[in-house]
Amino acid sequence: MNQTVTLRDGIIPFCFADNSGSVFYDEYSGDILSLALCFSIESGKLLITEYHAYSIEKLEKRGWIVSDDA
Amino acid sequence: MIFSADFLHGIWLKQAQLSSLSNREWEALVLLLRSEMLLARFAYWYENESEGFPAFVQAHLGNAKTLATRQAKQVEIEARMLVPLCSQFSQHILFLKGAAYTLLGGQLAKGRVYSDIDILVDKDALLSIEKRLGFKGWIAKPVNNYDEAYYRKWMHEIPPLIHSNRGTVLDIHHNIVPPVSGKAPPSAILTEHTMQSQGGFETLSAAALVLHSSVHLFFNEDQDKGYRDLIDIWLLIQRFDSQEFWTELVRLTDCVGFKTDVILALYFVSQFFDVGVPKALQPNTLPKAKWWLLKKIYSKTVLPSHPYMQCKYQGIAITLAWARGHWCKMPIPILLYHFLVKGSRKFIEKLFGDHVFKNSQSGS
Amino acid sequence: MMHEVILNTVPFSFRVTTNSTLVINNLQRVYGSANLNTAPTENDFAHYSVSLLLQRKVGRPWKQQARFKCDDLEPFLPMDADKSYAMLEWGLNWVIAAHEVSHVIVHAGVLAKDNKAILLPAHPGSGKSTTSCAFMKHGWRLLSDELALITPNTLTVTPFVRPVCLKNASVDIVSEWLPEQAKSDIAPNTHKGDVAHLAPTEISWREKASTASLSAVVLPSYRADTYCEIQPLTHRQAFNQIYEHCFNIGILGAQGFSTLAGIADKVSAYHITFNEADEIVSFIEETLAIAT
Repeated sequence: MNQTVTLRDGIIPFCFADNSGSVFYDEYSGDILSLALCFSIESGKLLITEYHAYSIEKLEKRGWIVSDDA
Repeated sequence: MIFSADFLHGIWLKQAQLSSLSNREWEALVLLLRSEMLLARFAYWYENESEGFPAFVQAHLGNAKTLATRQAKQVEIEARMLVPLCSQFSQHILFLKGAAYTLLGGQLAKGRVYSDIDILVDKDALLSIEKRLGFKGWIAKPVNNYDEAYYRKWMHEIPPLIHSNRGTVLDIHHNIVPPVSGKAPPSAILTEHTMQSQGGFETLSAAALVLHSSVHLFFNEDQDKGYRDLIDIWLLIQRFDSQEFWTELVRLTDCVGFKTDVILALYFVSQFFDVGVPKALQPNTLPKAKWWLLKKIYSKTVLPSHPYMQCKYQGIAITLAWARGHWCKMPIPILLYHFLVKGSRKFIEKLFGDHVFKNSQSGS
Repeated sequence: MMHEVILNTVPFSFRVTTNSTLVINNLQRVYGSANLNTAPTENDFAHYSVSLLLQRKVGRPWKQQARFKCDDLEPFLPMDADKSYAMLEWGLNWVIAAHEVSHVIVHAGVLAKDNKAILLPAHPGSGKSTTSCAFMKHGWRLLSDELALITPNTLTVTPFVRPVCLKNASVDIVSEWLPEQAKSDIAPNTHKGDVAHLAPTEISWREKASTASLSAVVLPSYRADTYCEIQPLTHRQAFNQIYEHCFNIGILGAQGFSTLAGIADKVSAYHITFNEADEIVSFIEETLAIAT
């Protein structure tokens, strides 16, 4: 189930090539989240292709992403 | 090797013969500048000439610039987060000292490093702000219980707050000098002398910043980083030099006080960096004997107190200045009590070998 | 008597002021005259200035204690005089970790052969230093025992060759592997146990200015009952490990983040449980196609 989200300003994502997941860096706080979640970038937004439970929730809780499913 | 005061001033006036320095002398100069928190300033000051410096010096300057840039970025982020938080309780949120310089940008900002962010808010908003910030991860910096009482009871201030995650230190003031001294200017006056930075942040006006810097330089007990503060004042004058600026400064000292401190600061700035000062703020407006004593004490203390600086009798001068700083801030009975408790605590710690991590990189 | 010497380590040199003969003797033994300038002149410089001074303890004047300082900063509590050389070595690590921001610094050992480098994050109890010595025994050169200096957004590691810190039983084990290497006096009962510093091999010193490119991350775990078990790590697991041991990511911000993520994504990573160090070396040499 694919999902498109928008990243908050200052959040830098990195998806690992072996599909083991991705890491997100917040320039403002210096915090890092390491998650079992894979994505690709499409027209400036994150298209999440694979994730385990709670991964997206963790990002949402911190306000690092905004879901595009209004 | 020992550097003379003239050599040091010559660096900022771009008259010093840096090309004739030996490697050993360069090593010492880097150490001296770093100790005075002036290394990053120096790096930007000589941005175009540093290619001719020895490689190891360039490496240090590179590091200093990286750290300064990182800090400036962090301060802007913090400022953007703090203003909406504090405005719920205080009509004014004014940035002071180092943070103000960073937000004002330009040469004043480049390479200016400091350890705390200083802001001025309404007095009755202090406790509410402290509480609100507490929810956002800001906690009072751990101090021993005597110092905490000193802050809250006698200085009517809250201790510095440190962010539990980011480590940023925030110093929230409601005046520029402790009210218990009886010398604190009415805060209403201070809030009339403000200006806006390009980024939309409120700081004290240029004249008020000069006043505050002068007060901080001579009134406070820490005669530390005085030389750096003089450079700040010089840069403020250079940038905001105008009839209005000087008129405002004279008017401020007339109604708020601290004229002596401003005259002293301007005297040193004019001596070191060849800056013109209007008659109304020159030393001959002060009683001769008073001026003679002040000049004697402070001529030594405004220079870096570093083993590489050529300056005798600095130890005594610093003690005298320290005592005056304390004296100016508090009435005598309170002062004695403060000395007694603080003094004996230090003695006990020394005697039983307890050692605290020394951090001489403090001061904003 | 006060000594002032310059330790000509690269890329950072140190001017060391000390009144401890233990420190001077060990510096001479472990670094050798090629790396130690005992009579600095006006033309000589050092990147950092430190001091290791012995003083009588206030309140206990029969005891001497050692204090390490860099400029005005004193990062450690004083230690007993018999640990002064070890204290200096730890102090030098602190100075670099606290001041250097032109590299991404990871708390790890780094070794290289044929300019292919491996990173050993300093996991407690990992036996990282002992493992490093095993690699040196097989002709690998040491780039660093504690501080990996990585050029931002690259896989390039800059060497910072200095002695290896060994603890307790490892000291004897490694002395057998590398009998030629100079060893410092033992600093007894430190917070890490009995500690000694071992000079790296000749090839390490010779190549002290040659960079290398990261090819693998290795997390060794010594276990007496396991011969050699290899567990490959995912890129994300490798990132977690490197990130956890990175000293200055706070200062380097986004650049530090992209450097570590890039490394994790490009090199192979293994967790290796072992009781026979030679096996780790064989495995890595084979995996990285290094000619033995």
